[in-house]
Amino acid sequence: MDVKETELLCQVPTEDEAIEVVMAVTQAYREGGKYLDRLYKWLGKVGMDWVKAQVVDDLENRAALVSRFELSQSLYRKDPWAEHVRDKAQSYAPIADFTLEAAE
Amino acid sequence: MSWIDIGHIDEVPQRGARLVKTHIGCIAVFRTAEAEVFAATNSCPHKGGPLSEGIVHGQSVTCPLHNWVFDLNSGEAQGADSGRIDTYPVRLENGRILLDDSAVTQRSAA
Repeated sequence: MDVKETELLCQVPTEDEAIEVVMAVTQAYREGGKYLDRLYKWLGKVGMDWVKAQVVDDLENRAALVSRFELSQSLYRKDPWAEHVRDKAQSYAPIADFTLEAAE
Repeated sequence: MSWIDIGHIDEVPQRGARLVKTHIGCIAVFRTAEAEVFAATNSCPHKGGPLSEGIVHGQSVTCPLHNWVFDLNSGEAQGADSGRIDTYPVRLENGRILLDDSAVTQRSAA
């Protein structure tokens, strides 16, 4: 069993940039990792230095990884039930309401 | 006997129903076929189940709670169950659903 302590990748000034770094590392893992390998296994194979070079130092590569990640997730953000609620919710309401009194 | 226009037939799904709220409770308008409507009280006489949420088949509706089947022409419960639901005159004209006003103009029991 592998028990590991956390290893610092980098420190960034803003929350948005932190999310970007996470997205970039996730995409690098998705593209490079072997099937069923957890993240730490992939990290052990490629090395922390390589990940830092790809994501922390190379801003252009980080942006490219982020855009590929966003593209991959865009397909999963479609929610047919939410669309049904948005378009068809009115059709489940009563068709007529005779309990309303006209304002005097 | 006068008729009240309550909506277009296409607003009611086929083999489904929509509600009409009145002072004495809800009336369910059932569309059993492309151009066939029935109107009956929404509340099942057994335990008050919502008939508008029941399965519509042929010209009958089945209560979703305990499977009581009602013939929408007479309102009588079918099979071993005994009871009936009130049905109201309703007709189609040019795609509009017209409900008889006797269903609507009753006051609530005071």
